[in-house]
Amino acid sequence: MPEFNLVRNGNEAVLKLGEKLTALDVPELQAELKRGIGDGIREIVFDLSATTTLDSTAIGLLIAANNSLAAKQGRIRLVNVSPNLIKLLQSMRLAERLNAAEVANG
Amino acid sequence: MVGVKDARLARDGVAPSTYRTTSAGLRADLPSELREVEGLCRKAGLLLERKGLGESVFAVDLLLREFTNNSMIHGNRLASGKRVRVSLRILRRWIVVRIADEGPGFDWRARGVGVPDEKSTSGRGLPIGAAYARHLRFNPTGNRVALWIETTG
Repeated sequence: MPEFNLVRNGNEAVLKLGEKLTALDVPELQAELKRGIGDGIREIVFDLSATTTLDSTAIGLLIAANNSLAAKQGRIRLVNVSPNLIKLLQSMRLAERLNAAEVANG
Repeated sequence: MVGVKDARLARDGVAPSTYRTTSAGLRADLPSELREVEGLCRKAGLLLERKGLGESVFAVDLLLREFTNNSMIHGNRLASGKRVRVSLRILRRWIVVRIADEGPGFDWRARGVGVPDEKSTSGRGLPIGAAYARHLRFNPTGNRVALWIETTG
């Protein structure tokens, strides 16, 4: 079962992900994101402070969410991203596109 | 003891996953069900930690996920009766992962390993392989892959 917790505040939402976001979790989260964007959310902050694993299917979902929001002048942001995941996003040339910010030190 | 998952697979006539662990690595024989990838990655991670290769866990986990998912989804079309066989061998400088499925393969030469456009929602499995493995080799048919990951531990 996917681990995520979405808290909405106006047209923004913060979504705290669990330890992993992978192909197994994508269908359920995709449905939740579609619902939220359809209901007027325009910025989604993905909090990855607990997340150690993303696979390419999950990355595809983040891009799809960003594409959908960009068409409505919105965006996603990724915060508290681990160094390993930042490096992965950079290697796929996505860190800037997905507004990814590394976890703050200390 | 037979778990709920194994009971369901048995009811469907599908053999459950099997693992064989040795001092040099592990072998897995998996039905094509995505939830099996979790068990595989967990076992591989524990093995690498025990061998003092914790620094390699992220890369190996990522590559196991990408290529086992690919074999199950694109190779075996998630037909749980079709198997994916995985081996992981720990050598002095390398961790070698081999993954084979029962699908028809694909034209990996045409696909290439270039990073797709930033708006594209798919096509990153092979680029991730190229970024995290020192060597990435398919058999001519494209239903077997071998990945050499240089150890960093």
